[in-house]
Amino acid sequence: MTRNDEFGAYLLKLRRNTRLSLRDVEMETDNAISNGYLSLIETGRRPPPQPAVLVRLARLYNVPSAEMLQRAGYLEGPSDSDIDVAFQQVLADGNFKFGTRAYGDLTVDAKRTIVELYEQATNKILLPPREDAD
Amino acid sequence: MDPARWRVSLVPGATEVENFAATFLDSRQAGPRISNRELAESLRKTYDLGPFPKLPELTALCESLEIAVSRRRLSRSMEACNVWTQPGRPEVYLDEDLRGVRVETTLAHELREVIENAFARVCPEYLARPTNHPDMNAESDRFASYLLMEEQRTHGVLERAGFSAIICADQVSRSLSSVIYRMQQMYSAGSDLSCPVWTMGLFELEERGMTLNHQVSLGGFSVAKGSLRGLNEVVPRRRTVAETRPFLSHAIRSASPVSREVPLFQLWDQQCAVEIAEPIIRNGLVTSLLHTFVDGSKAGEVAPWLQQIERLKTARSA
Repeated sequence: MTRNDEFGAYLLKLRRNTRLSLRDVEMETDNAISNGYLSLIETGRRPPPQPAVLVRLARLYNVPSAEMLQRAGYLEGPSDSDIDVAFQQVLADGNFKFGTRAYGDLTVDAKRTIVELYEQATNKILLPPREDAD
Repeated sequence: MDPARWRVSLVPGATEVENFAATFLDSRQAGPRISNRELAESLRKTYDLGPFPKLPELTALCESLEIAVSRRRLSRSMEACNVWTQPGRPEVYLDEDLRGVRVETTLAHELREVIENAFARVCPEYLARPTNHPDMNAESDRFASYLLMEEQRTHGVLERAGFSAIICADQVSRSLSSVIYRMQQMYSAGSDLSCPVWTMGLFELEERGMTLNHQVSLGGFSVAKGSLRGLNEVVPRRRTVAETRPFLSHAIRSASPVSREVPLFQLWDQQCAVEIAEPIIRNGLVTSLLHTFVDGSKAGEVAPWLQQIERLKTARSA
């Protein structure tokens, strides 16, 4: 399976989870991506689209933008210390309250999830995207 | 003059959960703790919630309170998360892999945390517990237990089931551990309700064997305090492995419930306990074991339970 195939299958799964048709996606993204082109990407016959389009798709499919950009090969994941610093910033924001049902202490992965939810709720970016090393 | 009242204030555009929080606090005297029981019953009454609310009712309740609920892939160690940005409405995210009765418990748990933040918003003098602190998890679990199993109705189901936690869990579609936990709340020392069960322990399958991970004492009995002579010597302690006890081992090997009378040493009175071990079988495998001690002088109250055990034993041996 090529990288395009993998990414296509990932996008197709997300679209099916949200029960949207190809045309729905075209409409919901204000024609940022045509239904025909999306179909080609989903079947691995085209590479992932530009980051700006992916960010819109991520919002539509309710997944973190960073996750989609990583899957598309645009980003590498933030380091543990990046996540810790970002999480401390979330804790310091008195206007943002959160709670979790988690087992034991929060893992780095759990902290990252909270930071992503914070970014989504506040439109702030705490985990700056880094260029892919590839 | 009434100095001990909460002083609540609502900002324009407050959400329904803030309105509810303000109404709840406004009708109560200020104090260091909010009663989870009162809170759950107030919600049940205000939003016409049934005695054993299921997911559609809980989701509708969240909608009424203007709390957005959605599914999302969360961290592996996280079942759910609630967030609230000011200004804005609260949101609850449930992990997309969360299934079964756990969804209901988890949603009720998250609801308690959202309400805690709502209390802080409408009443500056309310000392809110940080909802991101592990201590809040126990508080939210307690609330969930109250909300999901109304006291009088649960007691009624238990009475008819001969106080069998397994039968009750089946009848009200709740997990066994949540019924055990609720029984501990309902039949704590000083409760108006009575229960013939002294202790319940849940053994769970681990690498080392069937291990006692959860244990509750009811009706004022305490293993730790040694409140009943004779019984303390036979009740296993946490982390005991069931296979080391012949009676429990027999229940596991036969995959069938067993019961027996255990005489207790008493100086002034003849007393006994009824000991019951019930293996719980999933996909043909004994995955856990419920171990109970009942007050022998009240065996009549557990008759429906013991009859059910006899029926199961007959069915298994056939």
